[in-house]
Amino acid sequence: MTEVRTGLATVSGQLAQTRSGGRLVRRLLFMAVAVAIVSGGLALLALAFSQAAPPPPRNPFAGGMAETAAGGSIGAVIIAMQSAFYRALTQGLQAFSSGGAGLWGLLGVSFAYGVFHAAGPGHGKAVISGYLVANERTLARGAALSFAAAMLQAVVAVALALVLSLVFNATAALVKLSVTVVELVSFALVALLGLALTWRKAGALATLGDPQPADVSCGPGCDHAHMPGPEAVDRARDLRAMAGVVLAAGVRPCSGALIVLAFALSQQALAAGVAATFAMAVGTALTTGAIAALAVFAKRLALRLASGGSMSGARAMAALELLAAAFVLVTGLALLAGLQAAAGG
Amino acid sequence: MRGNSFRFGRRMAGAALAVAVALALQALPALAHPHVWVTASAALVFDQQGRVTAIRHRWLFDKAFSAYAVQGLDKNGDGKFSREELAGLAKENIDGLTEFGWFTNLKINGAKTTFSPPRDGAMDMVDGQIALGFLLPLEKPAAPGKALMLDISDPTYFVAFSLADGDGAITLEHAPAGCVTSITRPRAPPPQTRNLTEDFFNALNQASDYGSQFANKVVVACP
Repeated sequence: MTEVRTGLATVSGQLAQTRSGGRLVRRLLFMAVAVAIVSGGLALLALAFSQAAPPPPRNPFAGGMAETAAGGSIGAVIIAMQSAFYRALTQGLQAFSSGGAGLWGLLGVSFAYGVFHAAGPGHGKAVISGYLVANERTLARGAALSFAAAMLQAVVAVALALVLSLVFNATAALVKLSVTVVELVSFALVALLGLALTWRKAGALATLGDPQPADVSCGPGCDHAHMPGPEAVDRARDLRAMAGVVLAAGVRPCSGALIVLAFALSQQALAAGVAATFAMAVGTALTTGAIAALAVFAKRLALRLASGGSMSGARAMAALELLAAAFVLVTGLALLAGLQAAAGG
Repeated sequence: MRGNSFRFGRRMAGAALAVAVALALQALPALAHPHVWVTASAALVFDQQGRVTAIRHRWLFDKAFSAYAVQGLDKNGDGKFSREELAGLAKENIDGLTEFGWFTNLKINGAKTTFSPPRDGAMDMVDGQIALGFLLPLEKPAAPGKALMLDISDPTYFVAFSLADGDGAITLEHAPAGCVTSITRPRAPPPQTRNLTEDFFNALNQASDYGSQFANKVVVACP
């Protein structure tokens, strides 16, 4: 009797193993397919726009940094607004330091610059949107993520400027090097976050429709009190993911802020420069938040369209979430590849 | 059943489209908005035979970028940036400009000119603005004839170039008698010391000229 039992246990164990092995293969396969679809789509998109797009921005002056905004004719308008507000910002700072202008005007211009500066595609918005589509998230969550990322960006810019300029009397070349390092970290974070999301979403898709495994790890009398429940685990994982999103989206300071801060220092108006940087971040948060809201609405629309409680609908949603997760991963890899290309060239 | 799956397919296509549009918006190709403004002036240097041998550039950078670029370079701490203290930055910039063709596009009688490595690079600080000067020799000196065209611009628009105000923007050194210079400027003159509002719209106009390769074009004709 005991032998039979052991034999049965072994068989069921092996069965479980092959099933989970098959699930792993399926999971990896789903990941690969999702990444392939997203990279193919993005490559096509880039190809379609390559005719109209000018050569990618390069960094002609030592210490200067390239930054990006939208392409095309809408892009030209956005760029025009950005440059106009940026000019107004630096000139407002100068006017303020010489006593010719008030602080509120400077802050208003900084805010407006932030709004338009964030209007072009950037990796921060891609990460936040991708995360929001991959996970069912609320508008409030999207707004919080956008705000936190923008504020982090301002804090990093101010910290970098203060530490490098005031403490180390660093040159522009050193500032640029530090930004490159921060950039590398931020892009790697995007890729890592994308990988984690893709892994999780591929797993969800792979296990969809499988019978839910019964909880056998714990017999009667097993104490649950010391183990975090599944909800707590989810929440912790959620917080980790969100921290990752904020870090990946916000840790790289924008070069405009660094130039403004260096200029403020040279004008003995550091406090005004810091205030301008944070006003800029509020503007950035507004635009990023609007784009995040767009992502949330798109996801809701998708959910509604695919609803009906059918298995295939759930499967399609899981596939969609997987693609959004793969989008974050591909974005991270593309950013890293771009950095590599820039370093090599 | 078939109707069901058809409806389902349509739903899914719609859902995928909604999400794809939201995400694709993020992935369009990107270009820069300028972080550097340069007010350029240049001299065309002629030789005895009336050929152009070099372009003497002088570029004045905007105050904000100037402050950023020179940070940490005041080695003796006197609050001033001497030519010696800026020598390293000047060399770095001029070397860095090589792969951009020094943003200088010179056509003589329709033929694009190539340049030899620049000489006499130097950088000064003038009223909070760095001024970068260098002499860019032509590989083969050539007479301008009826049509010498000079264009100083950055096609990627990371650097916003504009020609200095007035006739001093382009000068001719030792040119034969009778050479005529004409300058085509962008719609609005480069912002100098005007009030903020005016400046804002000037900058806006200037930036809207993006893509125009003729914003700052100089034509020189000699007899």
